[in-house]
Amino acid sequence: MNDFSCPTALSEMQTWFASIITSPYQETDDADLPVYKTNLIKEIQKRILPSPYLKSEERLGIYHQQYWWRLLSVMQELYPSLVRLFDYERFNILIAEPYLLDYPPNDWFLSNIGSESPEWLKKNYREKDAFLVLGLAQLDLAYERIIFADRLPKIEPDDFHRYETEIVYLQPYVMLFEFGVDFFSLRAQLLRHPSSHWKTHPLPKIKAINKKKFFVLFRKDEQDYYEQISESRYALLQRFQKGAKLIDLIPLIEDCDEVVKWFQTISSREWLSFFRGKEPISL
Amino acid sequence: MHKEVPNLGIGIGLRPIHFREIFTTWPPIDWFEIISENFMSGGMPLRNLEKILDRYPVVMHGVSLAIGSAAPLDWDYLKKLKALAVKTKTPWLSDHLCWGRLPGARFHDLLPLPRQMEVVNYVAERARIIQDFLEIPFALENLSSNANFATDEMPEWEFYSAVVEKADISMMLDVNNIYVSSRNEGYDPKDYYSRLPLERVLQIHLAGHSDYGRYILDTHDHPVRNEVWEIYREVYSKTKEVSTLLEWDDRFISFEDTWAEALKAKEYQRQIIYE
Repeated sequence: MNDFSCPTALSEMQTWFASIITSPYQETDDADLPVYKTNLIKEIQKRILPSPYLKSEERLGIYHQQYWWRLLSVMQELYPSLVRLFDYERFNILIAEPYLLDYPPNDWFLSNIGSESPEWLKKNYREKDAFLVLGLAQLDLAYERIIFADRLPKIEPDDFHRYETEIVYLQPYVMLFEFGVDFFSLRAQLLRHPSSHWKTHPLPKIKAINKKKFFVLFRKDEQDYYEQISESRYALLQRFQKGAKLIDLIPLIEDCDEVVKWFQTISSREWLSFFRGKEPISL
Repeated sequence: MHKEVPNLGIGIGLRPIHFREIFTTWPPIDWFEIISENFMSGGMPLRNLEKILDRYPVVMHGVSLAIGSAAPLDWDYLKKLKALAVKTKTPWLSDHLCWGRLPGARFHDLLPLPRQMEVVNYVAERARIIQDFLEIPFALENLSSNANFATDEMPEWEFYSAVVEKADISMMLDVNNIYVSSRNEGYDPKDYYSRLPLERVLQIHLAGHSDYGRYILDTHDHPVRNEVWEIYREVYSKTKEVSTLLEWDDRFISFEDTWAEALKAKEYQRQIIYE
């Protein structure tokens, strides 16, 4: 055997071990450890030694329990508004567990385990409130991701002459949203109380509107803020997200004076950079 | 290879809950240990770390290397790890003697390895490659064991020693994990630590745990138990006075109380000198 190749028995054991701990379980014993069927217990007993205090299957059960507890608790932290909408138990059953079975973690960063949830919800969650669940999921994920957004070099007053010739980009910590409902307000209301509150109180009312609403979520001084913006400003920011020269945006500008003031505002908030970051965060 | 490293004194694990207190009072902590992965994605966590790096020594401790896994080494992860190591100027870097990955899957846990010679060879070879790549002393931490295998050929201490000696790397010795494993498997903790090549220890971890009666979990959410302090006293006196760190990861207490808990180590160190 080459030292660097994985021993077959090790690879086989790990595949077996993983197949058990990643399976969902329903039945638990007094110690909250999974209860297994007789055939599986016999298999486990062949591989895992008992301790003076625990049976083989209980010892494996600790890892099984911890796998699910850890991942479900991270999912709950990533999706706080969905936890309030559903409560912890229903969130686990309806979303977190089936999602984790379809998208088992494959990233070294634990916070990334829920990254595919909006995509999963689009395909798999077909209840009447699907649009609400998806909107809140997208926002929860956005609030998590924006924490890790880079800060590109800001535009200094001395750099203003560069606007004439250079491409301007939106900072990664500025994210754009287009919703038929004000999900930002709804999320803020939901987060005001713990999940237990919403079990006994009516959920905040939301009003669907015919017209789309446009929002920007951004960070300043390591805090999150959001604002509703007009469609035309949203369109301008979208262009900056891809990268645009100011001169190319003139045809998009309707009220020049207003836009100049707004441009001063976003400049002072350091939303723009001459540097291109990674691809905009997609949800 | 195993190298002498500086004794940084007594530190605590840097956790986001501490930032407000640290940035307000800049407490006189000797050093901080970070969970490497928490700072490898950039953004606010990294900006906070940069402020810490201006004032304190920082040591990196990882949880996602999964060195004993049947999956190939994750070079994308290792490159990011090294980039952070360069930024932090960590004097050494550690992770766990465990597995936790398969091709296409990560389990986000520190899973136990069969204690077999062919596994020693496999892990030691990977540890050598990792240390060569990182270009700083690399240490593996002993696990808190909740399971061992029918195929085991040796006790945990022999397995741990064999890996670090064959790879010629260092030990990040968690004395709480020694206690947890000894209770879970039913042996005297002295059987464990008295058989380790303690000259390879470059850092000691202290932590509390949760006792469920028939088993213990290494939860880092309680004060350090007296039995664990006793192991610390025994082990520390046989090392070359290495850096000591308290981990506290859940059921957080105030920053001041966390630091006070860590400082108990100083008292044990004084007793050793007196003895």
